[in-house]
Amino acid sequence: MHSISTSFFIVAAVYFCGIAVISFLGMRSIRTEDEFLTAGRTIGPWTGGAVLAATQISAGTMVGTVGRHYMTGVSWVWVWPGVWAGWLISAIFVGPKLREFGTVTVPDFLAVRFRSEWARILSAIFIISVYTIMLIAQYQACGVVFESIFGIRPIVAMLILMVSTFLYTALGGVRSSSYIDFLQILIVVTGLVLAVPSLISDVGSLSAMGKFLTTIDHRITGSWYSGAQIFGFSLSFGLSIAAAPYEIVRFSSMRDKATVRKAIGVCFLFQAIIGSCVLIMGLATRALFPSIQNPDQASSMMVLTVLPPFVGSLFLVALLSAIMSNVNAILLVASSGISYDIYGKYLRPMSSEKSKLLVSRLSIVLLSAVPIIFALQRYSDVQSLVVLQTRFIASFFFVPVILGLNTKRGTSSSIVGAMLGGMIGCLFWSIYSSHHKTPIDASEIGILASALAFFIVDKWTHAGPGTPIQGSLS
Amino acid sequence: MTRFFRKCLLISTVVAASTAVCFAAGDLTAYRASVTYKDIHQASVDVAFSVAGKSGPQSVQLIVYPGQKIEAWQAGDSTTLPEVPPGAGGITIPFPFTQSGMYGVKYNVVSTGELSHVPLPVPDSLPVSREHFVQIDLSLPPDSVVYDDPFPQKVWRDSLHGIAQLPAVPAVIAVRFAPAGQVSWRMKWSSVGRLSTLFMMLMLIVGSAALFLYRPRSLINERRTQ
Repeated sequence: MHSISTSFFIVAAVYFCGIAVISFLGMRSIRTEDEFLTAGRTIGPWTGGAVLAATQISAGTMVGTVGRHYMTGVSWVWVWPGVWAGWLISAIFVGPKLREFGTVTVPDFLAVRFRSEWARILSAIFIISVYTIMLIAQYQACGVVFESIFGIRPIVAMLILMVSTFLYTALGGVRSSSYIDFLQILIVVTGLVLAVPSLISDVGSLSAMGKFLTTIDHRITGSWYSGAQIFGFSLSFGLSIAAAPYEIVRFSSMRDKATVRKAIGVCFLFQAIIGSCVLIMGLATRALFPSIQNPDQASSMMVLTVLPPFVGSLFLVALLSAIMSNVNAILLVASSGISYDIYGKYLRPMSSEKSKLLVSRLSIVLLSAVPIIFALQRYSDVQSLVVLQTRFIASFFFVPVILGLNTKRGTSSSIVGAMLGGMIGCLFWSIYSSHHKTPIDASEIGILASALAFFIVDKWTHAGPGTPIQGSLS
Repeated sequence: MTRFFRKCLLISTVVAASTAVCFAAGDLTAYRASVTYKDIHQASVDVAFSVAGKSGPQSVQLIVYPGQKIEAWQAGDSTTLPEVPPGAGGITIPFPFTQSGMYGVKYNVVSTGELSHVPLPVPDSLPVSREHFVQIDLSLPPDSVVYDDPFPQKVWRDSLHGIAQLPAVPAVIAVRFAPAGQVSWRMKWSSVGRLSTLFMMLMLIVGSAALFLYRPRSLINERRTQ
C-alpha cells in the first residue's frame, strides 16, 4: 500500500463520523415522506447552491472529465458553456417555476400539469432505467480509483460505496444530504484548487506543459473535437441539466423562487472553479504521465504521485464524497419514482406515510445494488457513460418540462408522444451513428423528435384551451 | 437485461472511439531509471526498459525545458539526438529498433540555473499492467538536503537516495535540494506541499465553522415556517 493509505483512512474516518452525525440528526427530524424528499422546503441559497453543484459534480467530473482532458486536451472545456447555458435555462425557465408549481418530483409535475397518469408511470420508469447508467458510471469510477490507489478489488470498493451512501440517503433524506453536500463541495473545491499549484510546480510551468503537450499531439492544445461534436456534447449536457430530475427535485427543497435563482448563481461560481481546475489537472497529468493504461486513472495517478499525503487524502475523500453525493441524488430521485410516483400515486394511493417511507428506503437498497453488477463489466470509460445518460435525459425530459412550465399547450397524449418520440429518436440515432460517421449528435435528433411529436400529437388531440399552470401540493 | 445494457453502451463507443490514442508499438513491461545528480546544475540519467509484443517502441518523447541541454545521448548504438527546434517544449525521438526486447538510453542533463526538473524518456508503448512496474532511483550529491516534496513522491532509503515505484512512466523528475547549510526555514515552509497542507487545514476549520453557524439559522427559519 502507498504512504497515502494511513492518512487517507484517518481523514476518511473523521469525515464519515461527521456524515453519520449529520444523518442521524436529519433522521430524527423526519416524520413524513414530504419532509424526507423536500427537507421541509427550508434550504437557503448557499446550501442550495452547494447542493446543486455537488449533485452535478460527480465521478463524471472528478474522474471522467479529468480523463477526457487527459486524452483529448483543451477542447473538451467547451462543453462547460453548454453546462452553464443549461443552468441559465434552468434559472429562467425551470427552477423557479417548478418551485412555484409545488410538485415534488418530475413525474409528479408531468402527471399534474398534463393530467396524465401515463406520463407519471412512463417518466418514473425512464428515470429508474437511465439513472442506472449514471450509477454504473459512479460505481465504475469508484472501483477504478480504489483499485489504482489501494489495490482494493473493485467489487469491495463498490460495496463500501453502496453501504455508506445508503446510510445517509435512506436515513437522513434531503435535509441531511444537503448539509453534507455543503461540506463536500467545500472539500472538492479546496482539494482541486490546491492540486493545481502542485501540478504546475511538478511540470515546471504552464508554458513548458503546453509546449510538451503540443509535441505529444498538437490536437491536445488545439482542437481534438470538431465544432459539431462539441455542439452536440454541449447540447446534451446543457439541456439534460435544464431538465434533470435529480437537480429539479433539489429545487423543491428550497425556501422559495428567489432562493432557487440565488442558489443557481452560487452553483455557477463553484462550477467555474471546478471546471478550470479539472482542465489543468487533466492536461498536467498528461504532461507528467504521457501514456497511462486507462484515462480514468488520471485522477488516481495525480493523488498517488503529486499531492502531499494530507491534501491527497482529502482530495480522495472529496472524490469519494462527490461520487456519494451524486449517487445519493440519483437514488433519491429514482427511489421517489418508485415510492412516490408508482407506489404512492398509482399502486396504493391510500397507503400510510410510514409505508411510503419504508418503500422509499427499500427501493434505495434495490436501486443501489443493481448497478454494481453492470459496473463490474466495465463496458466503457466513465465519461462515455455520463454522455450517454445526458443524451437520453435531454431527449426525454427537455421538451415536456420546458413546454409544460412555459406554455399552455399540451395534452395527456402529446406529452406521452413527446417522451416516447424523444427516447426513440435518441436511441435510433445513437445506434445509427455507431455504424455511420455523422456530425449530428443523438441528443439533437432526440430533442427534435420530441418537439415534433409534441406539436403534431397536440394538434390532433387538442380540444379547447390548455391547462392553466397551477400547483398541486403547494 | 445485461444484453440490453450491452447494446445501449455500445452506443458510447462512438465517443470512446473518437478519443482513442493510437499506440502502434508493443506493451511496456518494465521501466527502470536511475537519476544521479552530480551537482545542483547537472545530472546523469540511465534508463532501461523492456517492451513485449509484435514490435518495439517506434519513438520516445522527451520534455525540453528552457536553459537545459541534453548531452552524451546514447540510445542503443545511436548517439545522435535530433536537433530541438527553437521554442519547442519537447522532442519525439525516432527509436532505432523494430523488435520487442530490452532497451537502454543514457544521457546527461545540464542546466544554466538550478536543475530542478530532469526529463525522462517516455516510450510510445502503453503499460501492460496496473502494477507498479516503473522504478525511479534518485541519488543526490553528498551533503545536500531536499526542501520541497519531490515528484514523483519517493520512499527515502537515506537522506540522499530515494526510490519511487509507479504504474506509469513519468516524463519528468522534479526535486529541489540545496547544500545542507543553505536551506533556511523559509525555504522549507514556503514549499508548495507544506503551503497546500496548511491551506487545506485552514479551509476545513473555516468551512466547519461556517456550517456550524449556518445550520442553526436554517433551523430557526424552519421553526418560523412551521
